[in-house]
Amino acid sequence: MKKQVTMREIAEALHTSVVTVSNAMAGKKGVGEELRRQILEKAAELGYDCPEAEENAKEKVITLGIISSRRYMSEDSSFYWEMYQNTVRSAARRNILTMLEMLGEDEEDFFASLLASKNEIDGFIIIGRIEDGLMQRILHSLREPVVLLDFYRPGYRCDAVLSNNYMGAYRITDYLVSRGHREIGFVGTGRTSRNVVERYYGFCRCMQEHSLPIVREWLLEDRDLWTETPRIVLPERMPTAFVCSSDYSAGQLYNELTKRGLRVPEDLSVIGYDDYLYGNAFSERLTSYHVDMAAMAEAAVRMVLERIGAPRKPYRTRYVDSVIVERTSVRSRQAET
Amino acid sequence: MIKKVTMEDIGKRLGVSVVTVSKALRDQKGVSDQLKEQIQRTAGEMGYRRSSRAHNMRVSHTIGIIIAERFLEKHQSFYWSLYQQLAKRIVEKDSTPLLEVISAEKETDNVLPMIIAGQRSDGIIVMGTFRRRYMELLHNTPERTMPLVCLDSEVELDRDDAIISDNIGGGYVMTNYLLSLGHRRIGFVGTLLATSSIDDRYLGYIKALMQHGIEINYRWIIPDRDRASGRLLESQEIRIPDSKGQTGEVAPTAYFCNCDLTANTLIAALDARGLRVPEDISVVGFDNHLPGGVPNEGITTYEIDTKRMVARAVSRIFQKIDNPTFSGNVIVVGGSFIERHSAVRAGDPVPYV
Repeated sequence: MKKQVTMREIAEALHTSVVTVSNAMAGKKGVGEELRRQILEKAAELGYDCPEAEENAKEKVITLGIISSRRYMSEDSSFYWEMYQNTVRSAARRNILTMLEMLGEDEEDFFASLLASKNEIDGFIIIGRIEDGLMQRILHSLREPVVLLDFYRPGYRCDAVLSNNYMGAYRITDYLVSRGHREIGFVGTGRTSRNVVERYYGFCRCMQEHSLPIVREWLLEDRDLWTETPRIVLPERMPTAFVCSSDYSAGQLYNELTKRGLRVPEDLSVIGYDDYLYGNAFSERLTSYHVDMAAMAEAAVRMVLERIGAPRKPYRTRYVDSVIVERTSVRSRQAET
Repeated sequence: MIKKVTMEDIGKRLGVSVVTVSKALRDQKGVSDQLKEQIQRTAGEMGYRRSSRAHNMRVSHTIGIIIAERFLEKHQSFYWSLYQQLAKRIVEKDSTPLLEVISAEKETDNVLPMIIAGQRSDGIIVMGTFRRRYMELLHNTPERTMPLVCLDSEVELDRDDAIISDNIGGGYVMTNYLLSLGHRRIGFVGTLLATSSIDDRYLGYIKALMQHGIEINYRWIIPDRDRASGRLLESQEIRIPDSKGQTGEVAPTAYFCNCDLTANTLIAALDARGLRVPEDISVVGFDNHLPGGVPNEGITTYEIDTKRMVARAVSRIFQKIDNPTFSGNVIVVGGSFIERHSAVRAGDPVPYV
């Protein structure tokens, strides 16, 4: 791990005292403007984690642009609309204005609007996945800091906040194993979402650690790969439990199982990821890894503020961890084994 | 497929920034006329397909939306839903919504919104009600340079340009409905003086009773929340009037609740006493909205046409931006009655006086 940069190192690099560095960072008087600038630049250059940067950024009125797909923003309730609500609440607590930029069908329209208003915006938070080409274009044309929320691709020159996909999926798999399940399948289509891929790896890792086989026929796609419409085809021989890459796919799976006359958890255990299942009665029974939207939104707002205060720090990705919310969709098999 | 020409392509060709291209195509300030013309010509030559936005050459506006923190609780509330529709509508009008949430503290201390103080938008839509003193500040402050429209806030302060929902009319419709089902003993559930929409819905209730020659029984006006904090009561805290044999006091056969959420709570409270809805008691609500995505399947209710309110508010603010001297009037938007299964006939319709 990289060694933490201290104020002393900054002071030494500039041949000044620690007190002066501290005063400069805290915005106190007694430090000349030029020296203050030098200190802040040096701190950023050395990668000093400067908590005061956020404090300093707070003083002026800050406007954040929040970008998300119009599709997510116009559904009466969606995961990302709720993420947006959390982001607005986090911003409001800090007295920050938020400007909503909806990404519709017409990319040019979006850019026209984005560029027209961007002069007043200090930083951006992008909620949810955006197609790669467009994302490159956005990062290329915006000079202001950008933080991605619940989505990232290696190589993007920006910060990101993600749910701890790998750890979360590991935990829900481990939860099933600890309740006596040995034959465990996975539901999710990784091709469209990095989140799902990471969750799949978490599942694999846990299975391997317990020396359990990853059975090909138990890895189910949750949509038709050609039409992208939701579709789950159940295998001939069933495992005793499924890890689902999202609550949505858990809901789909549940519907399919019900059609076949299989009961959850009596015949089969199901565990989900998100703790956000909308408009399916199964949500009241589904045990799931809770995605802490409030904490993620809070982290994103904090990150963009830090970035505004220290533009040259290396880019970071933060993984927000959370807990399993236990309901009744998993049956314990311990008694039988 | 031919590759779409983008603003970047035009910028590259002319050696100017994308922002400059965008401004020139939208005929905005900050670009010299000569360069503007050159950019527009080049765009034409390169076959730049103007988006509907650029094509209309419509100036895009920033619309400030001001709302009290208390209305933006967790999950999809009435105001979140209204804000969502509003934001969508503003975007459809090629403009951008800028949201400012006013904390209770700022409201109490009469601190001017940052959007107004910093002149950060072209127009302002105030959503929901603030304290009277704060509403007055928003209306009267000389620092406000942009026009203002009120959406669903208290009417008497909005001397002009307010879009309000017809809560009195809705309360009247719902109470009349119960009367037409033969209910004479009708209670009202809602804390008076807590919000202006509760008060207005109550007034509609009074009007309907009055027109049917029925006296108000104040013991049947039942609080549903704490007046100061707005905290909604739990079902076990709801005070339901009992029939008392010795005093001859009888309980209502039907209740009009000021919102569906309260109707839900009341139904749970009645259920706890072994009273079934609608077999034993009829209950109707208001809003056609339950938070957190709980579907409203059973409650007969009244739905305010929020889509129309939003459309009116947005077109009104644009009118005022285009013409600063424009002053409209109060627009009252009604709604529709939605009959489900929570109320049943108790006898012949109660006749009007």
